[in-house]
Amino acid sequence: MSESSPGPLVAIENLVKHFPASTRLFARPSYLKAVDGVTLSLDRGETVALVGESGSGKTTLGRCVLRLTEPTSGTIWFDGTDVLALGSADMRALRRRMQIVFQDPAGSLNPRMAVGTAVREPLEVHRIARGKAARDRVADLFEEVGLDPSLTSRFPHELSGGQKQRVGIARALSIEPEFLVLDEPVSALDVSVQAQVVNLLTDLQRSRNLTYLFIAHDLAVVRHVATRVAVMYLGRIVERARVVPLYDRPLHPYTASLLSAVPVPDPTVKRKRIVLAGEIPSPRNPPPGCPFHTRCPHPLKDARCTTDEPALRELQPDRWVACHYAENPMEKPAP
Amino acid sequence: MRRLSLAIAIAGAAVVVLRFPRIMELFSSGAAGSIVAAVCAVLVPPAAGLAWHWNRRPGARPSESRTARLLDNRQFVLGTGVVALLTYAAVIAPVLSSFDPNTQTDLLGAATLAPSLQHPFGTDFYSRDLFSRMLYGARWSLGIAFVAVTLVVVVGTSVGVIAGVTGGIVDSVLMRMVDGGLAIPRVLLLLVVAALWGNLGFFPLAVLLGLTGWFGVSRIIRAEVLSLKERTFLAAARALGISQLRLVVRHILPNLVAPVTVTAALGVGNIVLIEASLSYLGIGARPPDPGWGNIIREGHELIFTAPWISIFPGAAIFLTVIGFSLVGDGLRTALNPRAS
Repeated sequence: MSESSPGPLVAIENLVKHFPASTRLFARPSYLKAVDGVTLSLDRGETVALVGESGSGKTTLGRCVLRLTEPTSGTIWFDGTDVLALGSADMRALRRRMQIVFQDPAGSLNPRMAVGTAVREPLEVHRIARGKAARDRVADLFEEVGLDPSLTSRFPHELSGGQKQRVGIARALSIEPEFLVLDEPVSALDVSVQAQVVNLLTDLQRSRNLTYLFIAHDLAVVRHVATRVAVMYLGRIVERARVVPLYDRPLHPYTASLLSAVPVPDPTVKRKRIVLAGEIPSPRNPPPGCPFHTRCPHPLKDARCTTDEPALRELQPDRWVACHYAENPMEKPAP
Repeated sequence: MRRLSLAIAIAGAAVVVLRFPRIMELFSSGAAGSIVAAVCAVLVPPAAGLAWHWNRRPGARPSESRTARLLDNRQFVLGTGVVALLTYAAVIAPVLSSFDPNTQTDLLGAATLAPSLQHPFGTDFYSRDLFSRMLYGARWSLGIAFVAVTLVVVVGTSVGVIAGVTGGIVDSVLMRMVDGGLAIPRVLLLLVVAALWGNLGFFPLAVLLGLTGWFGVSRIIRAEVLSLKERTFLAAARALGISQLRLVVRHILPNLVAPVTVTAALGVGNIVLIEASLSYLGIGARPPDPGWGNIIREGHELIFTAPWISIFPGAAIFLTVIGFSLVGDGLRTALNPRAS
């Protein structure tokens, strides 16, 4: 692929997505702040994981990057191009370089289209190959993602969840993108199949030099695949760091509590778990101050947390935290 | 379904054997309509036989497919049987009938005869053979219904898809038009047209019925499109840079087959009923041409002395409506994966 400008392949700056959410006709317009000022960049060939609870805005962010959802404001740079400024023709051309794999393998395939056709369609749309050449290409792609090429004539309902997800991956790879948004690609699969698909994704990344935005809520999987992690809470990034330091010593109390929920495959280990009280607050009406203060278990939590919103600060090189007391992190619940 | 094909094959073969002289007569008549009817009469039985034979082979169809579910659905098979039989009879009407539907055989001697071997459904007040009139009336009534439903489906689906896919102001304008269309009572509108232009003839009436019947369909299709738009595979298609037109043709329309076929099947019965009401009111088929509706009308004054005149077309309408309802319900059950 084209080796052009240096710097990150994808740079998201101050991205905001507000969904209109007023229910009554003459009520003051209210908004659901799904993504509220996110800045994040991805270097070529790396995997950045986006983690957080349901409703934290991870999926919306992923969809905004591909303009499947039109962001409210902010900028997205893709290899030096301002994605949000592109007209529809330029955008269609750019779509060849970025793709997405969805969480629900069944829903992401057209039930009335043979899976081989689904993988061949983008080849024809982007005039990469047609006829016999396209069919050969589809067979190669099927093999690359670990599917028997004889399955091309099957329909989605005739395949298992894992097979469907492999078809989804083959379809995304068909037009040879450089960047993939993986929107919880294994969450809907059985655990044994999860490992296979995760391994497939890491192999593909190596062989094709892909850049991944890996959206997940399973921190065990993230540790296995990611180079960097961004933790989202209520549409904002609360902590961003490389994998090892983040897992060793989370600086944000939310990260700490997420990590304490990762199961340890050893029944003799006694752990202290940080159990968060209540649910994630509604992004329609986020709490003032630190968005996390309503559930924060940090011992130093005080009035300041309820009034001042903590900025995302770079505490150490490549280590960003949005917490007033990041210098005094909570004890990691040690085994 | 297998037994149904067999039944049609046997019945068709019996028709060919019993009415063989008549078929030859039609072939030699030289009139295009008669020859088509004769050809159909000859071709349908072997075709049905082949269908029966093909379905008999083991593994002819996968047991888990939607087709299999459809064919296991008794409602659907029964409905299809009724509909197929009526349609078949209408198509080969000249083969089955010995009399011209409009010829008055013997005004003084053969009027209002009860059903007999010579006149299976009896004769009417003008001594016309009711069986022939019923068969040719089926051509009129079913023909109009098929043409009108085709129109309903094409227009309704197009409007629904355009509104659903485009959204915004186009959607609002189209749907307000549909609201307007639905607000006008249909029979009243048709009565006004009839008052202005009298008996319309086959195609104008079919077009009129079609153009006044698509409003509800477009709403159903629009709703279906809106729910499809939320499905992930359409987001995937957009992410792949697939054009809007291709999105509609390859991804949306194929997923509308189920609701469209169901509405079409249910629509036929509806239009047969409306057409019959219009004919009964005297604005459908142009006398002396038969339509089921105006046969009933012709019989209603003699309902106590010659009840068969109204009963047979009434039963035919009843059977048609029930038949298409069964087909529609069967389709709906079989095509909806959630219902199984």
